[in-house]
Amino acid sequence: MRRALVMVMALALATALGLAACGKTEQNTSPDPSPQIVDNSVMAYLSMARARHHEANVQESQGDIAGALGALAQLAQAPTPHPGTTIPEVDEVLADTYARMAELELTRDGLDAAARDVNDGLLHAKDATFFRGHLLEVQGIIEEARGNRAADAGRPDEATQARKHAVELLREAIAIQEKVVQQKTEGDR
Amino acid sequence: MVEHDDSLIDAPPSEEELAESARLRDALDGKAETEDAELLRAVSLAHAPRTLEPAENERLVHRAIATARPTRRGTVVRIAFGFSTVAALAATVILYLSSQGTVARQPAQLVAVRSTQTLFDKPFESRSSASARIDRIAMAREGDLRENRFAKWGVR
Repeated sequence: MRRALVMVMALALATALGLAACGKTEQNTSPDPSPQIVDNSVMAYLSMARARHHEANVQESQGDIAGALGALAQLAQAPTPHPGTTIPEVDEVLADTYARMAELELTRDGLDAAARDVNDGLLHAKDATFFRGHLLEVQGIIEEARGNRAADAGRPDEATQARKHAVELLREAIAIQEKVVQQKTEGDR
Repeated sequence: MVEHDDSLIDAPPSEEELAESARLRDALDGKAETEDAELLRAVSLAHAPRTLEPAENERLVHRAIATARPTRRGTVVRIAFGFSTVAALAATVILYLSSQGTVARQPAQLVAVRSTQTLFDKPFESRSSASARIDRIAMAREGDLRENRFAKWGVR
């Protein structure tokens, strides 16, 4: 009788351990806060971005700057995958797209529109990367063009102010690029 | 054929035969124990069993109960419990180990989103190279997506 009681207690203990193990399994398979993976949504967005840039290439090669800007604007306004989740690839593609749009605006003297594009792009490139450096470089070129325009219009003070700002932006761009290159060099060692 | 000497039947018993006879009689009365007496007593009781004394009956019953072996039923129950316990413990260990393995493998298999900075070695050039950069980003992540698909399918 006593042995039977011990056996029953051992069986109960084993069952409890089994249930505990099952419970732990369920807990571990529940969604965890792991980073977003590269999935179909991310890839679809990147594929769409690629197509828009090539569409812009075709328009630009035909001298249709407005058409090229229209293609890139559609990319900039397109819904992004996984709203509310930071996806570096998407931010970097948008930063580069706004930089290209700003450069296209420059070709038709759209300085204010170009400046707006750069500001929109900088919202997607807050860290020190080639993308941010490139945007600051374009911003410096815009200020340089603004200074030249002011000088041509006989507004020397405004030209001086714009050119000074251009130099500051271009130096900031250089500093970021040098920092990124240095980080990459150290990473390669 | 063995031949008997009839003169021996009528001969008076010897001293040795008398002593042996007395010893056998005592043994049959229960006063002594000999092999011959035990055999003769068994034959006698088989022919005419005597009444068992109550005290002796009680002693025999107690001795039988004390030396009785447990029934097989109790043994079967213990074996069943023991086997169930071992099986449950083994199942617990297998479940625990398999769940640990599954959880540990998942995160390492899938490629996460990340900066594309590593794809570029030098600062960007003018707008004409923008589409080439997007090409590079898309192609790199296309490879990552393929890796993730294979990982989900269990192919490596």
